[in-house]
Parts: sequence; structure tokens; C-alpha cells
Amino acid sequence: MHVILSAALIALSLTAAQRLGWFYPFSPFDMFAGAHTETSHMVARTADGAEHRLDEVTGWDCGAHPQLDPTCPGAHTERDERLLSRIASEAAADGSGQPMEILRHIYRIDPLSRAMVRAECVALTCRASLRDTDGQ
Amino acid sequence: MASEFARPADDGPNWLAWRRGISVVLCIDVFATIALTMVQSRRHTQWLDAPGVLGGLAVSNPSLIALGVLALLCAVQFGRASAGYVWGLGYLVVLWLLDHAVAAVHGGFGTFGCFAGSALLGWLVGRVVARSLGWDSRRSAGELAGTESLAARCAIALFSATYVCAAVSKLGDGGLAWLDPDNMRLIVQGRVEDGPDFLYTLRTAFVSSPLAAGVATWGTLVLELGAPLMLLGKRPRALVTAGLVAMHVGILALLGIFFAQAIACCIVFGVPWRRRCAAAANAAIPPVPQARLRRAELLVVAASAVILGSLWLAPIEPQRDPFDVVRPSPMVPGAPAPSPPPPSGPPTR
Repeated sequence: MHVILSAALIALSLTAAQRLGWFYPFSPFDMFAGAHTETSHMVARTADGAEHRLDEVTGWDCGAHPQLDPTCPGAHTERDERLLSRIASEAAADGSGQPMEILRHIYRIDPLSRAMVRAECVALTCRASLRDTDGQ
Repeated sequence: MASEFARPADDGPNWLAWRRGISVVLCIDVFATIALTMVQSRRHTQWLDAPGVLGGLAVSNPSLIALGVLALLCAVQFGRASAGYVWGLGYLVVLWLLDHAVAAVHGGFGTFGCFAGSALLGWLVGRVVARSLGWDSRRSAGELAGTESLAARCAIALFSATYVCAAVSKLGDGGLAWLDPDNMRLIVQGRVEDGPDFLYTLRTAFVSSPLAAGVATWGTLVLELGAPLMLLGKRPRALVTAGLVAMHVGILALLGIFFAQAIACCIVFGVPWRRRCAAAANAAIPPVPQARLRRAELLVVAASAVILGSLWLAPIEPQRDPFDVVRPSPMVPGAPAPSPPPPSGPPTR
């Protein structure tokens, strides 16, 4: 009985997770399930070339409807959405910030050396302020 | 057959602590979900802007709090009550609502409540099966012990199944390529610059070591696929839960994702609580007639076949979390290739 019951429950859970997807309390837990060929990370770059974490930047002014450049590789739905939400919630349209590029670092692994190789592209250009230097 | 249930094996004295432990975890999950939803910025902040009725529930703090209070009541009652399904079912329904409401306003499923939720569902299924064996938990201490022991076993089965699901998704979506250590290196590389400085060092070292990534890859798969070994008894359970906790600590350090509820459930199921509750739960479980056992087994097999068949045959579109999709690079024809890193402008770290 124990074996039959346990096996049945595990089979049901597996099937429900695959067929229903994210349906509480079932879940496929497929967050990092895919095979990755690249990964990416976004930073803010000031005019002097210094890079900063996005949470160090505030007072965004990226235009009325900011969109990340679709030709810039390494798009990541969650992070891109988070950034756009941050830009909207910490907006400052008074033009007081400095020129700021949203830079996307794209990482791939070199098939020969197996070393991590980094490329980059500009996903968005804005004006914004650094929290530390501006005292915010 | 009687021998299968006459002795509650090593699980019997633990069920009381497990049920209360799950109840506590469920309560914490409610607090965390409500609190995080109320303080985080939301994609939709107006009732009418939120997608659907469920989205409207999560943009309104009073409705969030009402749902939370109801869920808390259900979780507490589940921890206290030795019989009845209403509270457990009530919790699952409220959390289902809450989960979808939160997802509607955030754009992605943010709760990691599936671990304790699965355990709760398993517990309820176990009680139903115990009824089919003729046990009534209100009739005697022995039948209560039998019911709860079986329910606890089912709870562990569904809890462990969540890990098997994760492993199956990895192998199903990523195939053999997921087993390549470079895949794990890329996963961690995406988080290297997110955490505090001391984790930056750790993550950078991990990414530069294919050996460490290989160990993490295979260790994850072995632990997730081996999670059902928890059902074999207290020693395998202690071993597996310790391994899973270690895995979650590794995930926290390398990816910054804190599976607090999963860790709490591993502790609840992995710690030997025997001495703390032996007196309350050590009643002898009454034997079950062979014919009734066969009938219950047939019932389980038939019900499983019907549910499995329905799930596969029904035209269901699986609900995916849009935030969990890592899109490949849009290699637009004619688009400029990404520029190499500039010689100047070092990162701030």
C-alpha cells in the first residue's frame, strides 16, 4: 500500500506540474531548466566610463516610453521588466541627472578555451543620478 | 497486511510534530506573501488596471489582508485539528487565489509556497486513503495514529515529488546539455554582479571552475531525483534532507534565491522529533483486514489512473511564468554585433 500510494502521488505530482504548469501547489520548477548558451547582466555606465549597479542609480529620465534596444542581445524578461519598472517608479523628468547608458554585459563560454567571454552593448540611453554622489 | 500498518515504523511518533511544523511553515508563508506584496512595487496598482478579478485582489491591501487572515486561520486549524479536511482544503484554495492574484499584479509567480502546499495536499490525500482503510481518527487513538501516519507519508511523498519535478524539468527542457558544467557556470555568471562583495568573490571563483560547476550540476540532479528516498525511513530522510538543505544554501550563495520554505520543510521532516511527541502519538495502529487493504489499493490505482488520464487527455495549456523564460539573443539580420568591452571604464568592483 505504501509503495503504491507513494508512487501514485509522485506520478500525479509530475504529471500535474507538466500539464498544469504553475498551478498552486504544483509547479514544474523550471526556472533554470533550459540549456544556456549565454547569460547577461545590466549595469549603468556614466560618461566617464565608470560602471555602476542599477540600484546605485535613481532619478531616471529615459523619455516618455522607454524601450530597451531589441537588437541588443541577451534580453531577459524578468530583469528587463524590473529595470523598466524601476525607471518608471524612480523617474525624474527635470533633466537634472547626468548622461547614463544602460549597458548589457553578455557572457558566453569560448568553446575552445572554456573561458568566460564578455561582450556588451547599449540597451538604453537616459539621464539619471548616482545615489551616493548626489546624496540621495 | 496487518504488518504494514501494525507498527508505525519510525514515522509514527513524528507525525504530530510534522503536522504542527507544516502548519507553522504555512503561516510564515502567508505572512511573507502578504508582506512582500504590500511593500513591493507592482506593475498594476489600480484595481481596474489589474488583469482580471484575481489581479484586483492583490492591488487592494484590505482584500490581501482578508485573504491572509483566512489562510492563517486555516493553517492554524490544520495544525491543531486531528480530523477534517475543510481547513486544509480552505488553505489550498486561498493560497491558490493569492498566488494568482500576486502573479497578476507582479507579472510572475513570486511565491515559493509549493513545498509546504504539496505537503499539505499530500496530508489531505493520506487522510482520504485512511478513511478507505476503515480508520476514523475520531474513534480511537490507534486509528488517529494510523490515519496521521499514513497522511504524513503521503505528505512526504508529494513534498519529495516537487524536487523530482525540478529534475525532470531540467532534463526535459535542457536535455543532456543541462549536464554540461558550462551551463551551470552561465547560470551563476548571470548573478555574479547582483550580490554583496563577499559573494562576488565566491561566485567568480565558482564560475571560473568547471570542476565546481560539474559537482554542483550532478549533485543537484542526484539530490532532486533522490528526494523520494526520504520515504525509506529516518536515516535516509535525515541524509536526503541534509543534502537538500545544503543544496538550498548553495543556491542562496550562488544565485541569491532563498528557498526558505523548502529549507523549513526539510528541517521539519528531517529532524528526529520522536522524543518530543512520542507519548502523544505512539498508540498502536489497529490492523486492517486483507480484503479492505486490497480494495483500498485498487481505489488508489483507479483514482490515479483517472486523474492521470484526465490530465493528459484534457486540452490544457500549462500555465507558465513569463519571467522564468530566458530568451535567446534576438539575432536580428543586419543588426550590429555586440561591441567588445572597452579598454577603460573598469567595473566599480
